Amino acid sequence: MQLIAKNLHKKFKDFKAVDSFSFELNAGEVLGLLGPNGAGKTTIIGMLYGAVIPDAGEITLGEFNLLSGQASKAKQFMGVVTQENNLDPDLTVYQNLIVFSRFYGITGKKAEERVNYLLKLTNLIHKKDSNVEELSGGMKRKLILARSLVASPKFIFLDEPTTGLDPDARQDLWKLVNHLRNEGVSILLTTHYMDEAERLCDRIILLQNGKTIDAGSPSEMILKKIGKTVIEIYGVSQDQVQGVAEKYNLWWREFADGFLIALPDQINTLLEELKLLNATNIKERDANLEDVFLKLTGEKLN
Amino acid sequence: MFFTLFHTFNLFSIYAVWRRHLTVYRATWLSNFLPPMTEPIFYLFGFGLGLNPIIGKVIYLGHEIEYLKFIAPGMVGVAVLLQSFFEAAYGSFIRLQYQKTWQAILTTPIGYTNLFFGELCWAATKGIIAGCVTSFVIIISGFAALKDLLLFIPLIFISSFMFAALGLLVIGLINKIDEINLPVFLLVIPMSVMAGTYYPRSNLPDAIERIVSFLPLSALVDILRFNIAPHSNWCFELLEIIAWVILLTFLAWSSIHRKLFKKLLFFG
Repeated sequence: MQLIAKNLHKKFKDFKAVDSFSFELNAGEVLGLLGPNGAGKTTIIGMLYGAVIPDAGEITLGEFNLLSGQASKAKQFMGVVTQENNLDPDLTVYQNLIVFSRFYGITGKKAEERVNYLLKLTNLIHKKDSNVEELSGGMKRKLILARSLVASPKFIFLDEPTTGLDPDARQDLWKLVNHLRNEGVSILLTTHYMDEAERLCDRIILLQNGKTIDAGSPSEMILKKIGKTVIEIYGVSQDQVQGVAEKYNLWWREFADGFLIALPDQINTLLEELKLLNATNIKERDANLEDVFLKLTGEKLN
Repeated sequence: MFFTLFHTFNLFSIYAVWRRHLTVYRATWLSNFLPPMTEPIFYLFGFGLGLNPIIGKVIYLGHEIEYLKFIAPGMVGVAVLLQSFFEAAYGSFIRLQYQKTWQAILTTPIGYTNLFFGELCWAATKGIIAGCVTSFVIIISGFAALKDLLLFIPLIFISSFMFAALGLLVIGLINKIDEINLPVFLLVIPMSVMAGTYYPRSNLPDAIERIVSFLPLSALVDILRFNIAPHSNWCFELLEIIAWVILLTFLAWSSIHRKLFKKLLFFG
Protein backbone atom coordinates (compact mmCIF):
# COMPACT_ATOMS: atom_id res chain seq x y z
CA MET A 1 0.00 0.00 0.00
CA GLN A 2 1.24 3.45 -0.93
CA LEU A 3 0.14 6.95 0.02
CA ILE A 4 0.25 9.36 -2.89
CA ALA A 5 -0.46 13.08 -2.72
CA LYS A 6 -0.50 15.11 -5.92
CA ASN A 7 -0.49 18.85 -6.43
CA LEU A 8 -1.91 19.83 -3.07
CA HIS A 9 -2.89 23.48 -2.71
CA LYS A 10 -4.18 25.36 0.30
CA LYS A 11 -4.65 29.06 0.79
CA PHE A 12 -5.67 30.73 4.05
CA LYS A 13 -6.99 34.12 2.97
CA ASP A 14 -3.98 35.55 1.08
CA PHE A 15 -1.42 33.20 2.60
CA LYS A 16 -0.36 30.23 0.48
CA ALA A 17 0.17 27.54 3.11
CA VAL A 18 0.68 24.68 0.65
CA ASP A 19 1.65 25.35 -2.94
CA SER A 20 1.56 22.55 -5.46
CA PHE A 21 3.00 19.94 -3.12
CA SER A 22 3.34 16.31 -4.16
CA PHE A 23 4.89 13.30 -2.48
CA GLU A 24 4.71 9.55 -2.06
CA LEU A 25 5.03 7.50 1.09
CA ASN A 26 6.05 3.95 0.33
CA ALA A 27 5.40 0.84 2.38
CA GLY A 28 7.76 0.51 5.34
CA GLU A 29 9.43 3.86 4.76
CA VAL A 30 10.12 6.65 7.27
CA LEU A 31 9.70 9.98 5.49
CA GLY A 32 10.60 13.24 7.19
CA LEU A 33 8.84 16.48 6.40
CA LEU A 34 11.16 19.28 7.48
CA GLY A 35 10.96 23.01 7.22
CA PRO A 36 10.85 26.23 9.20
CA ASN A 37 7.78 27.25 11.21
CA GLY A 38 4.90 28.05 8.87
CA ALA A 39 6.36 26.01 6.00
CA GLY A 40 3.11 24.02 5.72
CA LYS A 41 4.03 20.75 7.46
CA THR A 42 1.04 20.57 9.78
CA THR A 43 -1.34 21.72 7.04
CA ILE A 44 -0.10 18.89 4.81
CA ILE A 45 -0.52 16.27 7.54
CA GLY A 46 -3.97 17.75 8.26
CA MET A 47 -4.93 17.18 4.62
CA LEU A 48 -3.92 13.53 4.85
CA TYR A 49 -6.31 12.76 7.70
CA GLY A 50 -9.08 15.12 6.72
CA ALA A 51 -8.65 17.98 9.21
CA VAL A 52 -7.81 20.40 6.40
CA ILE A 53 -9.71 20.40 3.12
CA PRO A 54 -7.29 21.18 0.27
CA ASP A 55 -8.31 23.76 -2.33
CA ALA A 56 -7.02 21.45 -5.04
CA GLY A 57 -5.10 18.22 -5.37
CA GLU A 58 -5.49 14.51 -5.00
CA ILE A 59 -4.66 12.09 -2.18
CA THR A 60 -4.90 8.33 -2.48
CA LEU A 61 -4.06 5.62 0.01
CA GLY A 62 -3.92 2.28 -1.77
CA GLU A 63 -7.22 2.03 -3.61
CA PHE A 64 -8.95 4.74 -1.57
CA ASN A 65 -9.39 8.30 -2.74
CA LEU A 66 -9.26 10.37 0.44
CA LEU A 67 -10.94 13.42 -0.97
CA SER A 68 -14.05 11.80 -2.39
CA GLY A 69 -15.93 10.09 0.37
CA GLN A 70 -13.54 7.20 1.02
CA ALA A 71 -11.65 8.86 3.85
CA SER A 72 -13.37 6.84 6.57
CA LYS A 73 -12.33 3.58 4.92
CA ALA A 74 -8.77 4.79 4.41
CA LYS A 75 -8.52 5.96 8.01
CA GLN A 76 -8.87 2.35 9.20
CA PHE A 77 -5.26 2.03 8.02
CA MET A 78 -4.03 5.30 9.52
CA GLY A 79 -2.83 6.41 12.92
CA VAL A 80 -2.38 10.09 13.67
CA VAL A 81 -0.25 11.73 16.35
CA THR A 82 -1.30 15.37 16.27
CA GLN A 83 0.99 18.18 17.32
CA GLU A 84 -1.27 19.26 20.17
CA ASN A 85 -2.02 16.98 23.08
CA ASN A 86 -5.67 16.17 22.56
CA LEU A 87 -5.95 13.24 24.93
CA ASP A 88 -9.34 12.97 26.57
CA PRO A 89 -9.02 14.55 30.05
CA ASP A 90 -12.40 13.12 31.08
CA LEU A 91 -11.05 9.57 30.79
CA THR A 92 -8.29 7.48 32.34
CA VAL A 93 -5.24 6.30 30.38
CA TYR A 94 -6.85 2.90 29.76
CA GLN A 95 -10.25 4.37 28.86
CA ASN A 96 -8.62 6.76 26.38
CA LEU A 97 -7.40 3.78 24.39
CA ILE A 98 -10.56 1.67 24.78
CA VAL A 99 -12.79 4.56 23.66
CA PHE A 100 -10.49 5.22 20.71
CA SER A 101 -10.54 1.54 19.74
CA ARG A 102 -14.30 1.76 19.44
CA PHE A 103 -13.91 4.61 16.97
CA TYR A 104 -12.09 2.09 14.77
CA GLY A 105 -14.79 -0.50 15.33
CA ILE A 106 -12.69 -2.57 17.75
CA THR A 107 -14.53 -3.61 20.91
CA GLY A 108 -14.63 -6.22 23.68
CA LYS A 109 -11.80 -8.68 24.34
CA LYS A 110 -9.98 -7.77 21.15
CA ALA A 111 -9.80 -4.12 22.18
CA GLU A 112 -8.75 -4.95 25.75
CA GLU A 113 -5.91 -7.22 24.58
CA ARG A 114 -4.61 -4.70 22.09
CA VAL A 115 -4.80 -1.84 24.61
CA ASN A 116 -2.94 -3.82 27.26
CA TYR A 117 -0.29 -4.76 24.68
CA LEU A 118 0.15 -1.10 23.67
CA LEU A 119 0.35 0.07 27.28
CA LYS A 120 3.11 -2.47 27.88
CA LEU A 121 4.89 -1.50 24.65
CA THR A 122 4.91 2.17 25.66
CA ASN A 123 5.75 1.44 29.33
CA LEU A 124 2.53 3.01 30.55
CA ILE A 125 0.90 -0.06 32.01
CA HIS A 126 1.56 1.14 35.58
CA LYS A 127 -0.35 4.35 34.74
CA LYS A 128 -3.35 2.45 33.40
CA ASP A 129 -5.88 3.94 35.82
CA SER A 130 -4.34 7.39 36.08
CA ASN A 131 -6.03 10.47 34.77
CA VAL A 132 -4.20 11.76 31.68
CA GLU A 133 -3.59 15.09 33.39
CA GLU A 134 -1.32 13.31 35.87
CA LEU A 135 1.07 12.14 33.14
CA SER A 136 4.38 13.82 32.32
CA GLY A 137 4.89 15.43 28.91
CA GLY A 138 6.78 12.41 27.61
CA MET A 139 4.13 9.98 28.85
CA LYS A 140 1.40 12.02 27.19
CA ARG A 141 3.19 11.86 23.84
CA LYS A 142 3.71 8.12 24.25
CA LEU A 143 0.04 7.68 25.09
CA ILE A 144 -0.97 9.62 21.97
CA LEU A 145 1.34 7.36 19.97
CA ALA A 146 -0.21 4.30 21.61
CA ARG A 147 -3.64 5.72 20.81
CA SER A 148 -2.72 6.04 17.14
CA LEU A 149 -1.79 2.34 17.11
CA VAL A 150 -5.06 0.86 18.44
CA ALA A 151 -6.13 -0.35 15.00
CA SER A 152 -2.65 -1.64 13.98
CA PRO A 153 -2.31 0.99 11.23
CA LYS A 154 -0.13 0.61 8.15
CA PHE A 155 0.50 4.36 8.02
CA ILE A 156 1.37 6.65 10.90
CA PHE A 157 1.61 10.41 10.79
CA LEU A 158 3.72 11.90 13.56
CA ASP A 159 3.46 15.67 13.79
CA GLU A 160 6.34 16.87 15.95
CA PRO A 161 6.14 13.90 18.31
CA THR A 162 9.10 14.91 20.46
CA THR A 163 8.77 18.70 20.70
CA GLY A 164 9.32 19.85 24.26
CA LEU A 165 10.53 16.48 25.56
CA ASP A 166 13.70 15.81 27.51
CA PRO A 167 16.47 13.70 25.86
CA ASP A 168 15.41 10.62 27.78
CA ALA A 169 11.81 10.83 26.64
CA ARG A 170 12.91 11.63 23.07
CA GLN A 171 15.02 8.54 22.66
CA ASP A 172 12.19 6.54 24.24
CA LEU A 173 9.98 7.70 21.39
CA TRP A 174 12.71 7.02 18.82
CA LYS A 175 12.83 3.45 20.07
CA LEU A 176 9.10 3.11 19.43
CA VAL A 177 9.41 4.63 15.95
CA ASN A 178 12.17 2.17 15.09
CA HIS A 179 10.08 -0.67 16.47
CA LEU A 180 7.22 0.34 14.17
CA ARG A 181 9.54 0.68 11.18
CA ASN A 182 10.79 -2.84 11.82
CA GLU A 183 7.18 -4.01 11.82
CA GLY A 184 6.79 -2.56 8.32
CA VAL A 185 4.70 0.47 9.22
CA SER A 186 5.08 3.51 6.93
CA ILE A 187 5.79 6.65 8.89
CA LEU A 188 5.48 10.32 8.00
CA LEU A 189 7.29 12.49 10.51
CA THR A 190 7.63 16.21 11.03
CA THR A 191 10.20 17.57 13.42
CA HIS A 192 12.33 20.59 14.19
CA TYR A 193 15.17 18.43 15.46
CA MET A 194 17.55 17.71 12.60
CA ASP A 195 19.45 15.08 14.55
CA GLU A 196 16.15 13.28 15.03
CA ALA A 197 15.35 13.43 11.31
CA GLU A 198 18.87 12.25 10.42
CA ARG A 199 18.57 9.36 12.84
CA LEU A 200 15.06 8.19 11.97
CA CYS A 201 14.28 9.06 8.36
CA ASP A 202 15.03 7.05 5.25
CA ARG A 203 14.13 10.03 3.14
CA ILE A 204 13.54 13.71 3.74
CA ILE A 205 11.53 16.43 2.06
CA LEU A 206 12.62 19.95 2.88
CA LEU A 207 9.75 22.41 2.69
CA GLN A 208 9.57 26.16 2.53
CA ASN A 209 6.52 28.35 1.90
CA GLY A 210 4.47 25.24 1.18
CA LYS A 211 6.82 24.00 -1.56
CA THR A 212 9.47 21.28 -1.76
CA ILE A 213 12.90 22.84 -1.96
CA ASP A 214 14.88 19.61 -1.83
CA ALA A 215 14.47 15.92 -1.14
CA GLY A 216 16.59 12.82 -0.66
CA SER A 217 18.11 10.60 1.97
CA PRO A 218 19.75 12.50 4.85
CA SER A 219 23.31 11.35 4.01
CA GLU A 220 22.80 12.08 0.30
CA MET A 221 21.53 15.55 1.01
CA ILE A 222 24.37 16.37 3.40
CA LEU A 223 27.00 15.24 0.94
CA LYS A 224 25.36 16.95 -2.03
CA LYS A 225 24.61 20.27 -0.38
CA ILE A 226 27.43 20.75 2.14
CA GLY A 227 30.10 18.09 1.79
CA LYS A 228 31.65 15.92 4.47
CA THR A 229 33.06 18.55 6.78
CA VAL A 230 32.27 22.04 8.06
CA ILE A 231 34.24 24.50 10.12
CA GLU A 232 32.78 26.55 12.93
CA ILE A 233 34.85 29.64 13.56
CA TYR A 234 34.45 32.19 16.36
CA GLY A 235 36.01 35.54 17.20
CA VAL A 236 36.64 36.77 13.64
CA SER A 237 34.97 39.47 11.56
CA GLN A 238 32.45 38.82 8.82
CA ASP A 239 34.74 40.46 6.23
CA GLN A 240 37.55 38.07 7.06
CA VAL A 241 35.33 35.00 6.70
CA GLN A 242 33.70 36.34 3.58
CA GLY A 243 37.09 37.02 2.05
CA VAL A 244 38.31 33.48 2.55
CA ALA A 245 35.01 31.90 1.53
CA GLU A 246 34.76 33.91 -1.67
CA LYS A 247 38.32 33.13 -2.60
CA TYR A 248 37.50 29.41 -2.65
CA ASN A 249 33.87 29.91 -3.65
CA LEU A 250 32.53 28.18 -0.53
CA TRP A 251 29.23 28.33 1.23
CA TRP A 252 29.33 30.23 4.52
CA ARG A 253 26.87 31.85 6.92
CA GLU A 254 26.58 33.35 10.35
CA PHE A 255 26.17 30.73 13.03
CA ALA A 256 25.37 31.74 16.60
CA ASP A 257 28.03 34.39 17.38
CA GLY A 258 30.46 32.91 14.87
CA PHE A 259 30.40 31.55 11.33
CA LEU A 260 29.98 28.29 9.50
CA ILE A 261 32.06 27.43 6.41
CA ALA A 262 31.76 24.32 4.29
CA LEU A 263 35.10 22.54 3.96
CA PRO A 264 35.55 20.58 0.73
CA ASP A 265 38.01 17.66 0.76
CA GLN A 266 40.25 19.03 -1.96
CA ILE A 267 41.08 22.35 -0.29
CA ASN A 268 43.70 21.52 2.36
CA THR A 269 45.06 25.04 2.62
CA LEU A 270 41.75 26.52 3.84
CA LEU A 271 42.07 25.40 7.40
CA GLU A 272 45.61 26.82 7.60
CA GLU A 273 44.40 30.09 6.17
CA LEU A 274 41.56 30.33 8.69
CA LYS A 275 43.94 29.63 11.54
CA LEU A 276 45.91 32.71 10.53
CA LEU A 277 42.84 34.86 11.29
CA ASN A 278 43.47 34.64 15.02
CA ALA A 279 40.08 33.16 15.79
CA THR A 280 39.18 32.48 19.43
CA ASN A 281 37.90 29.07 18.48
CA ILE A 282 37.97 26.91 15.35
CA LYS A 283 36.10 23.62 15.28
CA GLU A 284 36.20 21.12 12.44
CA ARG A 285 33.28 18.72 12.49
CA ASP A 286 31.17 16.42 10.27
CA ALA A 287 28.50 18.20 8.27
CA ASN A 288 24.98 17.38 9.39
CA LEU A 289 21.38 17.87 8.37
CA GLU A 290 21.11 21.08 10.35
CA ASP A 291 23.75 22.61 8.05
CA VAL A 292 21.68 21.52 5.03
CA PHE A 293 18.58 23.03 6.60
CA LEU A 294 20.37 26.32 7.29
CA LYS A 295 21.83 26.44 3.81
CA LEU A 296 18.65 25.66 1.89
CA THR A 297 16.17 27.69 3.91
CA GLY A 298 18.68 30.57 4.04
CA GLU A 299 19.16 30.54 0.27
CA LYS A 300 15.46 30.68 -0.37
CA LEU A 301 14.86 33.47 2.10
CA ASN A 302 17.53 35.64 0.49
CA MET B 1 -25.37 16.47 -1.41
CA PHE B 2 -28.14 14.89 0.69
CA PHE B 3 -27.08 11.60 -0.81
CA THR B 4 -23.54 12.04 0.52
CA LEU B 5 -24.98 12.94 3.92
CA PHE B 6 -26.92 9.72 4.23
CA HIS B 7 -24.18 7.77 2.54
CA THR B 8 -21.79 8.76 5.34
CA PHE B 9 -24.29 7.95 8.11
CA ASN B 10 -22.97 5.10 10.19
CA LEU B 11 -24.97 4.04 13.23
CA PHE B 12 -22.03 2.29 14.89
CA SER B 13 -19.90 5.45 14.57
CA ILE B 14 -22.66 7.57 16.10
CA TYR B 15 -22.98 5.00 18.89
CA ALA B 16 -19.21 5.01 19.49
CA VAL B 17 -19.24 8.77 20.05
CA TRP B 18 -22.36 8.56 22.24
CA ARG B 19 -20.75 5.73 24.22
CA ARG B 20 -17.68 7.90 24.95
CA HIS B 21 -19.96 10.38 26.68
CA LEU B 22 -21.75 7.64 28.57
CA THR B 23 -18.37 6.36 29.86
CA VAL B 24 -17.59 9.81 31.24
CA TYR B 25 -21.13 10.26 32.58
CA ARG B 26 -21.04 6.97 34.46
CA ALA B 27 -17.75 7.86 36.14
CA THR B 28 -19.12 11.16 37.42
CA TRP B 29 -22.81 10.36 37.54
CA LEU B 30 -23.55 11.77 40.98
CA SER B 31 -22.35 15.28 40.21
CA ASN B 32 -23.73 14.99 36.71
CA PHE B 33 -27.05 13.43 37.49
CA LEU B 34 -28.32 15.02 40.68
CA PRO B 35 -28.22 18.83 40.25
CA PRO B 36 -29.86 18.94 36.81
CA MET B 37 -32.50 16.47 37.91
CA THR B 38 -33.40 18.31 41.02
CA GLU B 39 -33.56 21.71 39.32
CA PRO B 40 -37.00 21.39 37.69
CA ILE B 41 -38.25 19.54 40.74
CA PHE B 42 -37.27 22.48 42.94
CA TYR B 43 -38.97 24.80 40.48
CA LEU B 44 -42.09 22.68 40.63
CA PHE B 45 -42.28 22.57 44.39
CA GLY B 46 -40.62 25.91 45.05
CA PHE B 47 -42.83 27.92 42.77
CA GLY B 48 -45.77 25.56 42.94
CA LEU B 49 -46.06 25.30 46.73
CA GLY B 50 -45.11 28.94 47.23
CA LEU B 51 -47.49 30.37 44.68
CA ASN B 52 -50.30 27.83 45.04
CA PRO B 53 -51.90 29.53 48.12
CA ILE B 54 -51.85 32.88 46.30
CA ILE B 55 -53.01 31.63 42.93
CA GLY B 56 -55.02 28.54 43.82
CA LYS B 57 -56.43 27.85 40.40
CA VAL B 58 -55.64 29.08 36.92
CA ILE B 59 -57.86 29.43 33.89
CA TYR B 60 -56.22 27.56 31.00
CA LEU B 61 -58.06 27.47 27.65
CA GLY B 62 -61.32 28.00 29.49
CA HIS B 63 -60.66 25.22 32.02
CA GLU B 64 -60.15 25.95 35.68
CA ILE B 65 -57.29 23.83 37.05
CA GLU B 66 -55.16 23.56 40.15
CA TYR B 67 -51.95 25.59 39.82
CA LEU B 68 -49.58 22.70 40.59
CA LYS B 69 -51.29 20.55 37.95
CA PHE B 70 -50.89 23.41 35.51
CA ILE B 71 -47.16 23.94 35.99
CA ALA B 72 -46.23 20.23 36.23
CA PRO B 73 -46.12 19.61 32.43
CA GLY B 74 -44.35 22.96 32.06
CA MET B 75 -41.59 21.68 34.34
CA VAL B 76 -41.14 18.62 32.12
CA GLY B 77 -40.59 21.01 29.21
CA VAL B 78 -38.15 23.14 31.18
CA ALA B 79 -36.18 20.06 32.27
CA VAL B 80 -35.82 18.91 28.66
CA LEU B 81 -34.86 22.39 27.49
CA LEU B 82 -32.21 23.07 30.11
CA GLN B 83 -30.56 19.66 30.06
CA SER B 84 -30.33 19.22 26.28
CA PHE B 85 -29.41 22.80 25.58
CA PHE B 86 -26.70 23.11 28.23
CA GLU B 87 -25.09 19.75 27.46
CA ALA B 88 -24.84 20.78 23.81
CA ALA B 89 -23.87 24.41 24.37
CA TYR B 90 -21.42 23.96 27.26
CA GLY B 91 -20.40 20.30 27.18
CA SER B 92 -19.85 20.06 23.44
CA PHE B 93 -18.29 23.51 23.29
CA ILE B 94 -15.68 22.60 25.90
CA ARG B 95 -14.96 19.37 24.02
CA LEU B 96 -14.62 21.30 20.78
CA GLN B 97 -12.77 24.42 21.85
CA TYR B 98 -10.72 23.44 24.90
CA GLN B 99 -10.34 19.68 25.13
CA LYS B 100 -10.09 19.25 21.33
CA THR B 101 -12.01 16.00 21.70
CA TRP B 102 -13.80 16.64 18.39
CA GLN B 103 -10.47 17.12 16.64
CA ALA B 104 -9.06 13.94 18.17
CA ILE B 105 -12.09 11.92 17.08
CA LEU B 106 -11.80 13.32 13.56
CA THR B 107 -8.41 11.62 13.17
CA THR B 108 -10.27 8.28 13.31
CA PRO B 109 -12.65 6.71 10.78
CA ILE B 110 -15.56 8.57 12.47
CA GLY B 111 -16.40 11.27 9.96
CA TYR B 112 -17.67 14.74 10.78
CA THR B 113 -21.34 13.94 10.24
CA ASN B 114 -21.27 10.89 12.49
CA LEU B 115 -19.40 12.81 15.16
CA PHE B 116 -21.97 15.60 14.97
CA PHE B 117 -24.87 13.20 15.33
CA GLY B 118 -23.11 11.40 18.19
CA GLU B 119 -22.88 14.72 20.04
CA LEU B 120 -26.48 15.56 19.18
CA CYS B 121 -27.73 12.18 20.41
CA TRP B 122 -25.81 12.53 23.66
CA ALA B 123 -27.17 16.01 24.43
CA ALA B 124 -30.65 14.72 23.58
CA THR B 125 -30.09 11.73 25.87
CA LYS B 126 -29.51 14.05 28.80
CA GLY B 127 -32.73 15.90 27.98
CA ILE B 128 -34.60 12.61 27.74
CA ILE B 129 -33.29 11.45 31.13
CA ALA B 130 -34.25 14.79 32.74
CA GLY B 131 -37.69 14.86 31.10
CA CYS B 132 -38.44 11.28 32.17
CA VAL B 133 -37.29 11.80 35.77
CA THR B 134 -39.41 14.94 36.07
CA SER B 135 -42.38 13.09 34.56
CA PHE B 136 -42.10 10.33 37.14
CA VAL B 137 -41.89 12.87 39.95
CA ILE B 138 -45.05 14.70 38.86
CA ILE B 139 -46.90 11.42 38.38
CA ILE B 140 -45.87 10.11 41.79
CA SER B 141 -46.86 13.48 43.29
CA GLY B 142 -50.26 13.16 41.67
CA PHE B 143 -49.94 16.16 39.35
CA ALA B 144 -50.25 13.98 36.25
CA ALA B 145 -51.70 10.57 35.46
CA LEU B 146 -49.66 7.47 34.60
CA LYS B 147 -51.26 7.34 31.15
CA ASP B 148 -49.84 10.79 30.45
CA LEU B 149 -46.48 9.06 29.97
CA LEU B 150 -47.74 7.77 26.62
CA LEU B 151 -47.89 11.38 25.51
CA PHE B 152 -44.91 12.69 27.45
CA ILE B 153 -42.28 10.17 26.36
CA PRO B 154 -42.48 10.68 22.58
CA LEU B 155 -42.69 14.44 23.12
CA ILE B 156 -39.69 14.43 25.46
CA PHE B 157 -37.81 12.37 22.91
CA ILE B 158 -38.33 14.64 19.93
CA SER B 159 -38.02 17.93 21.80
CA SER B 160 -34.72 16.80 23.38
CA PHE B 161 -33.32 16.65 19.87
CA MET B 162 -34.75 20.10 19.14
CA PHE B 163 -33.06 21.79 22.10
CA ALA B 164 -29.85 19.78 21.65
CA ALA B 165 -29.66 21.06 18.08
CA LEU B 166 -30.28 24.60 19.32
CA GLY B 167 -27.33 24.23 21.72
CA LEU B 168 -25.09 22.89 18.96
CA LEU B 169 -26.11 25.73 16.67
CA VAL B 170 -24.97 28.12 19.39
CA ILE B 171 -21.48 26.57 19.50
CA GLY B 172 -21.28 26.76 15.73
CA LEU B 173 -21.87 30.50 15.93
CA ILE B 174 -19.76 31.60 18.89
CA ASN B 175 -15.99 31.80 19.40
CA LYS B 176 -15.57 32.41 23.12
CA ILE B 177 -17.29 30.68 25.99
CA ASP B 178 -18.60 34.01 27.38
CA GLU B 179 -20.63 34.49 24.23
CA ILE B 180 -22.86 31.61 25.32
CA ASN B 181 -24.40 34.14 27.73
CA LEU B 182 -26.12 35.89 24.84
CA PRO B 183 -28.39 33.06 23.73
CA VAL B 184 -28.75 31.87 27.34
CA PHE B 185 -30.00 35.17 28.74
CA LEU B 186 -31.73 36.47 25.63
CA LEU B 187 -33.40 33.28 24.52
CA VAL B 188 -33.24 30.23 26.77
CA ILE B 189 -33.99 31.77 30.17
CA PRO B 190 -36.76 34.11 28.88
CA MET B 191 -38.22 31.19 26.94
CA SER B 192 -38.23 28.95 30.00
CA VAL B 193 -40.18 31.61 31.92
CA MET B 194 -42.48 33.05 29.27
CA ALA B 195 -43.41 30.14 27.03
CA GLY B 196 -46.45 29.25 29.13
CA THR B 197 -44.55 27.24 31.69
CA TYR B 198 -45.45 29.07 34.93
CA TYR B 199 -48.63 30.79 33.71
CA PRO B 200 -50.91 30.67 30.65
CA ARG B 201 -49.48 32.74 27.82
CA SER B 202 -52.92 34.33 27.42
CA ASN B 203 -52.10 36.38 30.55
CA LEU B 204 -49.48 38.24 28.50
CA PRO B 205 -50.29 41.32 26.36
CA ASP B 206 -51.47 40.34 22.89
CA ALA B 207 -48.37 41.40 20.97
CA ILE B 208 -45.98 39.63 23.34
CA GLU B 209 -48.14 36.53 23.43
CA ARG B 210 -47.99 36.30 19.66
CA ILE B 211 -44.18 36.50 19.59
CA VAL B 212 -43.73 34.08 22.49
CA SER B 213 -46.04 31.54 20.85
CA PHE B 214 -43.49 31.07 18.08
CA LEU B 215 -40.85 29.81 20.53
CA PRO B 216 -40.19 26.06 20.37
CA LEU B 217 -40.89 25.59 24.09
CA SER B 218 -44.39 27.10 23.71
CA ALA B 219 -45.41 24.43 21.24
CA LEU B 220 -43.94 21.75 23.49
CA VAL B 221 -45.70 22.77 26.72
CA ASP B 222 -49.01 23.21 24.88
CA ILE B 223 -48.90 19.64 23.64
CA LEU B 224 -47.66 18.36 27.01
CA ARG B 225 -50.91 19.83 28.42
CA PHE B 226 -52.96 17.95 25.83
CA ASN B 227 -54.69 15.88 28.52
CA ILE B 228 -55.61 18.98 30.51
CA ALA B 229 -57.03 20.79 27.52
CA PRO B 230 -55.96 20.28 23.90
CA HIS B 231 -54.73 23.45 22.25
CA SER B 232 -56.70 24.24 19.09
CA ASN B 233 -53.45 24.40 17.12
CA TRP B 234 -51.83 21.23 18.53
CA CYS B 235 -51.48 19.60 15.13
CA PHE B 236 -49.72 22.60 13.72
CA GLU B 237 -47.56 22.85 16.84
CA LEU B 238 -46.44 19.26 16.47
CA LEU B 239 -45.40 19.97 12.89
CA GLU B 240 -43.66 23.09 14.15
CA ILE B 241 -41.55 21.03 16.58
CA ILE B 242 -40.59 18.61 13.80
CA ALA B 243 -39.69 21.55 11.55
CA TRP B 244 -37.54 23.08 14.31
CA VAL B 245 -35.70 19.78 14.79
CA ILE B 246 -34.87 19.56 11.09
CA LEU B 247 -33.98 23.22 10.65
CA LEU B 248 -31.87 23.57 13.82
CA THR B 249 -30.06 20.27 13.18
CA PHE B 250 -29.19 21.31 9.66
CA LEU B 251 -27.99 24.77 10.68
CA ALA B 252 -25.94 23.39 13.57
CA TRP B 253 -24.40 20.70 11.36
CA SER B 254 -23.41 23.25 8.76
CA SER B 255 -22.12 25.94 11.13
CA ILE B 256 -19.89 23.63 13.19
CA HIS B 257 -18.47 22.26 9.95
CA ARG B 258 -17.55 25.81 8.99
CA LYS B 259 -15.92 26.30 12.37
CA LEU B 260 -13.82 23.14 12.08
CA PHE B 261 -12.93 23.18 8.40
CA LYS B 262 -13.42 26.87 7.52
CA LYS B 263 -15.90 25.67 4.97
CA LEU B 264 -19.67 25.93 5.05
CA LEU B 265 -21.53 22.82 3.97
CA PHE B 266 -24.10 23.26 1.20
CA PHE B 267 -23.43 26.97 0.93
CA GLY B 268 -20.13 26.69 -0.94
